[in-house]
Amino acid sequence: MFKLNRRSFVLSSAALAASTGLAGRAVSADSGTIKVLMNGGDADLANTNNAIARFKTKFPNYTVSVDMDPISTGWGDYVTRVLGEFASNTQHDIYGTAIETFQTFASRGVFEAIDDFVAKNPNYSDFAPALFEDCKYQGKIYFVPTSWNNIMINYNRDLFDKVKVGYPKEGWTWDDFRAAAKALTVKDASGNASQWGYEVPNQNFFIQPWFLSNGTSPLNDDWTASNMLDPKVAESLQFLHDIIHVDGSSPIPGNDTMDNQFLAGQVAMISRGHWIIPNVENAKLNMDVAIPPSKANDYTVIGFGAIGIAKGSKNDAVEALTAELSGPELEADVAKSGSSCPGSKTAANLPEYLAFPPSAPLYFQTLPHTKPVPSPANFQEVEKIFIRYYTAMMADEMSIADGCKQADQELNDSFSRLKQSLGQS
Amino acid sequence: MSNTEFVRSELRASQARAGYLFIVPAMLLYLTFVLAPVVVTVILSFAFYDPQFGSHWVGLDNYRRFFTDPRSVQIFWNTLRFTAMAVTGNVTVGLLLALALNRVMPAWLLYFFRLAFFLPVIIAAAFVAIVWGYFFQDSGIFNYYLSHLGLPAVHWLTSAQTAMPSIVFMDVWKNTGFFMVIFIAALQGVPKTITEAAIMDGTPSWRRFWRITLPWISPVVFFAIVYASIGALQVYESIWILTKGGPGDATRSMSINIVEEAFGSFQIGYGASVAVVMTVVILFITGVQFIVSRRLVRY
Amino acid sequence: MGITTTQASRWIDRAIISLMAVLGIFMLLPFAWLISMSFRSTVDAYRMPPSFFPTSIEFTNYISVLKASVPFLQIYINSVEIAVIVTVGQLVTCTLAAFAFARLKFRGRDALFFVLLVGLMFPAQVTLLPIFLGFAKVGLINKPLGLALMYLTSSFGVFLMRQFMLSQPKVLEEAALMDGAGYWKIFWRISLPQLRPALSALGIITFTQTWNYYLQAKVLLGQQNAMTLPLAMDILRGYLGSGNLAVVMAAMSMSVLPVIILFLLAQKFVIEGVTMSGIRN
Repeated sequence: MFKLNRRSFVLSSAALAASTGLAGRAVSADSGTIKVLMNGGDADLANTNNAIARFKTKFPNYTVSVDMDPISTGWGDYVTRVLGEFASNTQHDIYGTAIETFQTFASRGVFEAIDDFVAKNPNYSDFAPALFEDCKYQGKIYFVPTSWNNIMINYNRDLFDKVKVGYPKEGWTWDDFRAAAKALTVKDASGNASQWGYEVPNQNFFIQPWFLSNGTSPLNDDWTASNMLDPKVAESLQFLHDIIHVDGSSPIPGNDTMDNQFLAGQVAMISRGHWIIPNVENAKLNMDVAIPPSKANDYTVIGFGAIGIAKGSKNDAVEALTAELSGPELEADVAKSGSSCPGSKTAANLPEYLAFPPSAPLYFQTLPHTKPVPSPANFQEVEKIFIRYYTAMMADEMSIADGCKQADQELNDSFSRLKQSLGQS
Repeated sequence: MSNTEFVRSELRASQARAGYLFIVPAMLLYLTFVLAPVVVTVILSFAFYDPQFGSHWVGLDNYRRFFTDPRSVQIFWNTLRFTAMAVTGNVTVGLLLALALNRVMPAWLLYFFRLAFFLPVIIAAAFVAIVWGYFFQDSGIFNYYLSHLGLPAVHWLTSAQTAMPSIVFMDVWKNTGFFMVIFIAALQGVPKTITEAAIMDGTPSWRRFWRITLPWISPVVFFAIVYASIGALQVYESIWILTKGGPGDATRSMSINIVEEAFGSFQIGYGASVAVVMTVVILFITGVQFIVSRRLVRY
Repeated sequence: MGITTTQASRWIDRAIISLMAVLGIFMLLPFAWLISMSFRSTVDAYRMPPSFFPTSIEFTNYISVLKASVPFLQIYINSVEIAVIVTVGQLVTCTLAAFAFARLKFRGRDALFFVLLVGLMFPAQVTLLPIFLGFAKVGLINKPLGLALMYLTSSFGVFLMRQFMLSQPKVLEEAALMDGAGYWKIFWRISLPQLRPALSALGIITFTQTWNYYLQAKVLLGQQNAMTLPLAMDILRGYLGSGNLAVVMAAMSMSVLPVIILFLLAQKFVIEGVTMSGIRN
């Protein structure tokens, strides 16, 4: 569906960075309140507050309140929260969100179409129009992209050194990866692992590269039906399953993520994005990143952060704040705090951004070879169904064949229910 | 009417007035926050309700969907399985603990026991589950000590076979103190004369328990079973925080399904129908327990 | 000469008590781990072996909780506010109703009581959804008061207070009635003072239950400064659970404190209340 041209996005962002600041705008005498809901942690809150400070220089009589949602249980719950706010008329004016939620929100008509806002903002005219394709629903733009995250293999260099395995090279294959994971698993006398080579992921977003690098995906290309019956999907699942049960290099994916164990040096490799960098730096871990291993290609998954304006909240002040929350200064802040990857190449060349990890340039290098995470309007249900069968298959409670078949059935049921409700909307 | 009759009926009227007045606050709140919502839920279960997409009647479609969904069987079975295991565990262990503590001991020791066994009861299930989640992790504390003893690690929460028993184990740890306390008091109500007579007759202790003690406390045992069942059938946090219903559907209970469907997938009508089914199940099981009690419980 | 039966039974007694003591310590181990984990430094938190006794007392985790972007203090106040309002509300409404059900005669009394009892069997899920939709219409979402409103009375509370009242002699009340006292006066001057242990028991049970609510709070109080403590744990666990568990443990230690203190102060009454609900059914 989308042939996102990452390179043109990147180059045009570079041009944008060259033209700093908005055209001079007189200070407004308007007053009012704006409520903002952003996602992330302390770093994102700081960036948001900086943007608000800049906004206040132009609209000094406005009060802006910020709520943060740490997305501790995934984007599904965030959707529930936001839709609950709209249902109870307690919604915010500006929302930070991610691509997984775009279709769900847009199809329910809770966000404003902002084509005119995007058109008249000089910053966005330099963005590749293809980028905004992702933010469209039925031909109208609803979100402004601000940052992105992909999935890389994060590995502990000290552990690699200890077993004298070479660091991952560019273009490494699934087999190279499997061998490395095996070598990095340390087992004690009774066969229990005291150190795992890899953490087979338990989150939808982290699992995607294993499908993409095999040239397949759990959903079809335009996210309208299940693709679980594709033998390549089963192949990817089998590969992960074997790493757990045949090689014993990974624990069975459970309820909790193992970021903390990774930071404590108990896991050698995990699939994560740029957001863990601040934690890694705090823990002073000797870590580096590598592009996920290839089989059919070296594609990895990408997800966008974006902001949208709630329906009924659009006015000049809100638009100005939205512009600040997606402008070049914010890009620079994002690069410096390291919570995500900034859209602007210039921001990505800032020394703070490149300081850590050692292979930081790799993030941007992957851009032409990324595909967005499947985000249909019923992504919450799709994600839940997929993870349910995925955990059953990874725990060896269900054969891969059965799992794919039943998942396919349930996913298509969900899609037909979605079509029904959209038909009646 | 004679004078006394008039006074009596006047008294009765004023008593009735007072009676109704006194129960008004509780009954009004009960009506608003319990009965009315239940009625609304029943109504919702016959509809497709969506704040953004619009709502319409669907008759018995939601119920049809529930009873034809292959997952419903597993979810229903999980709920029953959990209830059976948890009730047995909680009541039995509680009774055993009560029997063990039903003897003379220094006051400070009794104080320590009451604290140790009752403390888990008053701590939130949400907190307890987070701690136990870490204990049960594949790379967690239990497996750490197992591997130190040279035993293979157990997939406590990631294997369908051990997931439910692990959750029940935590539930018993948390709730058995409550039942222990009830049973201690019940045991203290057994008349000493009868037990002492039996001892002098030379009745072995287990027979004393089975023939004398147990029948005497059977009303309390019955209450414990009913109370434990109602709680277990509604279990949510304990399972959600430990396994989120997984792996697959191995530990998903009806209450989890309701929350997921109603608040997660916005299938509010469907969620309501599952809630109604769950309530009917609770009423049914409680009813059965009452009928069975007529035969087994001695008052 | 062999051991006498009394000596044997005393040995059995000692053996059982020792076994129970070991069991008791095992019961408390998770709490010991919780406390010791909360004192572990961030770097050491996930290192094995786990410690059940604090090896070093560092307050970094506690400070992290208070400095986190989560408004912990506000959430703490919300929990206290809701628990206090609900406790007071239940003590008032349940005692009044129980007095009527236990002492007064009026038409439909037993039927109404039965209707109230049925409420014990309705799971939270069946009442939560309509209450959420209803509160949404009147603007009670994200307001701690809304959650408190929902629980101002409880079937269990009425049941418990009625049990207590039934088990107390009616002598004083009947005498007062003979003297021509009004029902309110009887309730206030005579029945209530006798109920002090019952009130303490119900109070603590209700406070604890309300303090620990999770699902209801999650649905009705989504906003961070309206939340209660059990929900705060979810947030502290960070993006997809990547937060430091030691910090969560520190937050938990602070959260369970009021409940534990209340329990220690009034252990006797809680036990009595729990007992009373079970004995006379």
